[in-house]
Amino acid sequence: MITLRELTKRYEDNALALDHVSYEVKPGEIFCLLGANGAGKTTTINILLDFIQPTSGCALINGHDCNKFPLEAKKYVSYVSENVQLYGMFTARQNLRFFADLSGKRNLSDTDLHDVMRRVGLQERAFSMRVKNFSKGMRQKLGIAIALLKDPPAILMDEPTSGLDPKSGLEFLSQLGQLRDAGKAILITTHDIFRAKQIADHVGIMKQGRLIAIRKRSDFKQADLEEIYMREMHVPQARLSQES
Amino acid sequence: MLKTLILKEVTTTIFDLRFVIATLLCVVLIPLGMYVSRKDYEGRLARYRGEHAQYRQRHGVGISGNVLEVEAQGFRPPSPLSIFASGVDSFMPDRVLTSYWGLYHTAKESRTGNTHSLLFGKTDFVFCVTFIVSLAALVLSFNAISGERETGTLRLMIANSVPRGHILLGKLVGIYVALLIPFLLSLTIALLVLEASPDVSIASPEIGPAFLVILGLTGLFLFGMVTLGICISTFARTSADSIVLSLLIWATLALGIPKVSPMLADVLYPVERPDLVNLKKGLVAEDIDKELVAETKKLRDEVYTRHNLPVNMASSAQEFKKADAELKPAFQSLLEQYRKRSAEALQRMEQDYRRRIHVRSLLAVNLSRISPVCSYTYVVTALSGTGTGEPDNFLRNAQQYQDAVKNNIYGKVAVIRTGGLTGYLYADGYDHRSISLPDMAYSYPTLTSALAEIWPDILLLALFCALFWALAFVRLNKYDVR
Repeated sequence: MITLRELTKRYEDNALALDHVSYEVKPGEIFCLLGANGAGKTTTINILLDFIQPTSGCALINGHDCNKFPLEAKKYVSYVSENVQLYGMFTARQNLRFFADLSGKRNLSDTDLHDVMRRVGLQERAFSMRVKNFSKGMRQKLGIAIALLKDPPAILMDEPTSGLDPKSGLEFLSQLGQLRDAGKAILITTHDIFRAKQIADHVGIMKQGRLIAIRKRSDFKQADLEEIYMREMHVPQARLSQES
Repeated sequence: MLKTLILKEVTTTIFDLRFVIATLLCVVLIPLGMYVSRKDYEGRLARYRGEHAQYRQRHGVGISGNVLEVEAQGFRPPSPLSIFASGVDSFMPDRVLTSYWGLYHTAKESRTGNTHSLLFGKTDFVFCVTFIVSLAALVLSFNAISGERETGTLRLMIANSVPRGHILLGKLVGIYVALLIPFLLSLTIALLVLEASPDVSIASPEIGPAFLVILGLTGLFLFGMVTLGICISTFARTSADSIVLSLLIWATLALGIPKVSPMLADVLYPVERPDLVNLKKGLVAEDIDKELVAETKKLRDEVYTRHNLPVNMASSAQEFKKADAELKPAFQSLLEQYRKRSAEALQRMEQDYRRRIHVRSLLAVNLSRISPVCSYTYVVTALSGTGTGEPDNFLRNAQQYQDAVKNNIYGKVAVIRTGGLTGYLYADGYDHRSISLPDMAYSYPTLTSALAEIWPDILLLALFCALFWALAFVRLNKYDVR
C-alpha cells in the first residue's frame, strides 16, 4: 500500500536527508519509523504527501506515484501531523466538516461527525467549541478524527501521540489497533519507543537519512526495543555497509 | 470542493480583526468622501450658474464699444462625474476669454477656502478606492498562503487530494467576496448620500451608465489588488515577511510610481512653461502685425503716388476718395492674407506646444502604467471628465468657442490700420445692436469616446490580474508548505 523505492532526498544546501530508503507498508500493518531528530522520518512523510520532491527514487501509495500523480495518490491517504493546527475561529465540528469536504466526504450529518469525535475521545462539549480554545491534546484528537473520517486505505502519522496525555495515548493506541484490523496500512514516525513496541508490526530505524534496520514484531516482542534501537544507532557505519 | 474552499475563506476572513477594521474604514470614509465631493460639486455648480447668469445679465443682446475690445467669456460647467474623481478638475480653468486677434485666454478663480484639500488631496471615490480599499485588499490577503503555512493548516489542506490551483482560486474568490462586503455596503450608503443632493441623480443618463462602468472597473482593480496580495504571500515564508513586502509594494504602486513618473517625464522630455509660449506667440503676432502695418503703408503710398497725391495728408478731395476706393479691396485682401498668416503661425505654435505637452504627458502616463493604481486612476478620471485628456478637451472647447465668437462677431468686422488711423470694415447685415455674445457649449467626453481612450488601461488592469494570478499559481505549485 505504501511503498518506498530507493528514495533519496538531497536539499539545496547539499544536506542528504534520505539515502536510498526502501520499504513497504502492507494493508493491515503498522510500520513505525524510529530515529533521532534529522534522521529523515518527516522527510519521508513530506515526500509521500508531495510537500517536497525526491531527488531520486519513488514513493507510491496504492500504486500511484506520489510525486508524479500526487492528487491520485493522496486520495488513498490520510495525514496526522505532529502538531495539528486547525482554523481557530471554527468550531471542532466546522473544522471536521471542512476537511471532510476536502477529502471528498460530503453530505455527512452532524451525527457522523459527532460519532468520529467521540471515537477519538473528544468530549461532547468540545464539539461546538472554537478550536482556538482547544488544548494541544484536543487538537491532536481532532486531527486524528479528520484522518479517520476520510477512511482511506493508508494513514501517515507524524509523531501523532505528541501532546497526548497517557489516557488519550492509550485510547489512541486502541484506535490504531482497530484501524489495523480494518486493513489500513499505517506509517508512523515517532520517538516513542515504548508506544512503537506496543503497537508496531514493523519498526524501521533511521539514522542520518538511511534506514539502517527493519525489525519485525517477532524480533522485539520479547526483547527490549530500546536496547535494539540503541544498539543499531551506535553500530559503526562500516559494519552497516557489510550487513547490507 | 471549490465552494467549500471559498466558503471557508470568506468565513475566516470575516472573523478576522482585519476585516472589522477594513469595514469600519470603508463605512466611514467612502460615504464621508462622497458627501464632501457632493458638497464640493454643488458649490462648483452653483458658482458656475451664478457666474454665467451674472455674465448674461451684463452682456445681453447687442455689443457696445470697440469690437477690438469685445471679450466674450465662456464658462466651463463642472462635470457631474467629478464627484467620483476630482482628478485635474481643481487645476482646470473656469473660463475662456476670447479676443479679436484669435488669441483666447483662460482664467481661473482662486479658491483658497480649503487649503487642507490642496495639501493632502481630496477624499473622493478614487482616493478611497486607491488608498483605503486597495490597502484593505492587501491587508486581507497578504498572508493568505504564508499565514496558512505558518499555522500548519496549509499542510493539512494539501495533504488531501486538493489541487493547489483550487486552493489559490478559493482564496482569491473568498477574500475578494469578503472585501466586496464592506466596499458595497459603504458604497450603498455613499450613493444614498449622493442621491440626497438636488443637483445629482445617480440614475441620470450623464451619471448612471458611466458610474456602472466605473463600478465594474473598480471591481476589476480590487480583484487585481487581492490577486497581488495573494501573489505576495506566495513569495514569503512568514506573515511578517508578507506584511513588509506588501506594504513596500503598495507604497511603491500607490505613492511612489504616480509621483515619480511625471517628474521622470519632465526630466526626460522637458517642455517650456505655458506663459513663455504665450509670450512667444504674442511676439509673433506683433511681428506679423507690424509687417501688415508696413505693407498697408506701402500699398497706400503706391496708390497715392500713382494718383499724384501727397502721402501724409488726409483730405476729402475727390482724388483721395478715388484712391481710397481703389485701396479698399486691396486692403481687405491684404488684411485677409495677414490674418490668415497670423492665425496659421499661431496655430502652428499652439499645435507644436500641444504636441510637446502631449508627448510628455504620454511619457508620464506610460511610465506610470506599471502600477495598476495609475491605470485605475486614469480609467476613472477619464470616465469622470477629469482625466489627463481633459486639458486637451478644454482647449478644443475653448478653440470652438473662439471660432464661434469669430463667426458671430469678429469675422464680420475687419480692422484697417494705416499710419495712426484705424478703420473698420463691416460685413453686410452686421448690426452690433442685435448681436449677442454666444455661450460656450462645453462638452465632456462621452462614455464611448472615454472608453475608446482608456481601453489600454482596462486591458492593463486585466493583464495585471492575469499576471499576478499566473505568478501566484507558479509560486504556489513550487511552494514549500513545510
